[in-house]
Amino acid sequence: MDSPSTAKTNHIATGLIAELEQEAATTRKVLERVPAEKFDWKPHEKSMEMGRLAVHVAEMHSWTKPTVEDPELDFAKMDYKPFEPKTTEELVAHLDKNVSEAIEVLKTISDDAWHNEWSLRNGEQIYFTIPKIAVMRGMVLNHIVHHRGQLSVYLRLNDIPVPAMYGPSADEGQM
Amino acid sequence: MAIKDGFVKEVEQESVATRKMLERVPAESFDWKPHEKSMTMKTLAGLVADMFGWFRFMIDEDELDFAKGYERPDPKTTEDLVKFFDKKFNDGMQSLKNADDAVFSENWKLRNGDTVYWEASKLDVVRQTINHMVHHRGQLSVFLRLKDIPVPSIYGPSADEGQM
Repeated sequence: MDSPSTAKTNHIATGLIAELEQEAATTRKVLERVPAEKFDWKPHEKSMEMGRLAVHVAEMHSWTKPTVEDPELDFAKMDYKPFEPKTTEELVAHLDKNVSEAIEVLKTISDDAWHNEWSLRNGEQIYFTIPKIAVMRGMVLNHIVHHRGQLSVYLRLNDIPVPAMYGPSADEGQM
Repeated sequence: MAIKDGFVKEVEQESVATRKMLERVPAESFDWKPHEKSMTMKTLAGLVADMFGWFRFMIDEDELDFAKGYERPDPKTTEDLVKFFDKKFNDGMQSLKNADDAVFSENWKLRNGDTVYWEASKLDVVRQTINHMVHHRGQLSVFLRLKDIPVPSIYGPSADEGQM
């Protein structure tokens, strides 16, 4: 137990939560527009299908938990079953659940703990070992923005209006 | 740790994948776009190349006013595009490296004359600019894919590179 005099600060988490909430509002707008009948569509044979890409965007939020609570993520110990939504509503509900859980988990981590090392591995093979803050920043948050950016092109190619994100799109939020 | 330290590290790291991606944008596809409402490959790649340079006026100045003009990149070759990125990255990085913590609580505005589009702390403005770059670089990765150009691994393997 920390005594009040040694109480740990959590300014980093506070900033991350504010950012996550803001970005998640935009992410939700994008996922709400992914039609179930296009889940199997992909723009190129090497591309992810629209449904899989959208699920990936939603589920990356759940990586917050192992980032905060564990010293590593080991693919060899994972029993990964991708979420398979049948409808757009299920997809959006999955995002909402993962975002809420991520925010609750972020509330538990002190500023100091962000500097602890974290590894991504597959059994004996270690892909990288970096501080937790770099994992959260790069592998979780920026990674979500990256794939959400791809998803915005998928919407465009299907003539679905693209929401304004950081600035206006060709459809919405004109200055 | 100073506020700038985290940003400097992150921007350096993100710049690696950004540069790799820009190196693959062929000049003969500069005018191509995947949809009539999309940006052209050149506009999108130019934007991605430009954005880390924004740190210069976001940190050293208190606003950007479009009414005073803004020069948009107009590369003729892939080499021009990459050179432009390197210059912008170095400019922005210099401002970022000189920023003390107090600067990040200052206010910053994006405006067009009297119309203010966005007003936020410099901390938020820098943070959002990194995310904004990642967003458009993600779009650019789909543009490359659609032109059958191998996509570099970015946060993890792509269908072409960096298989685990």
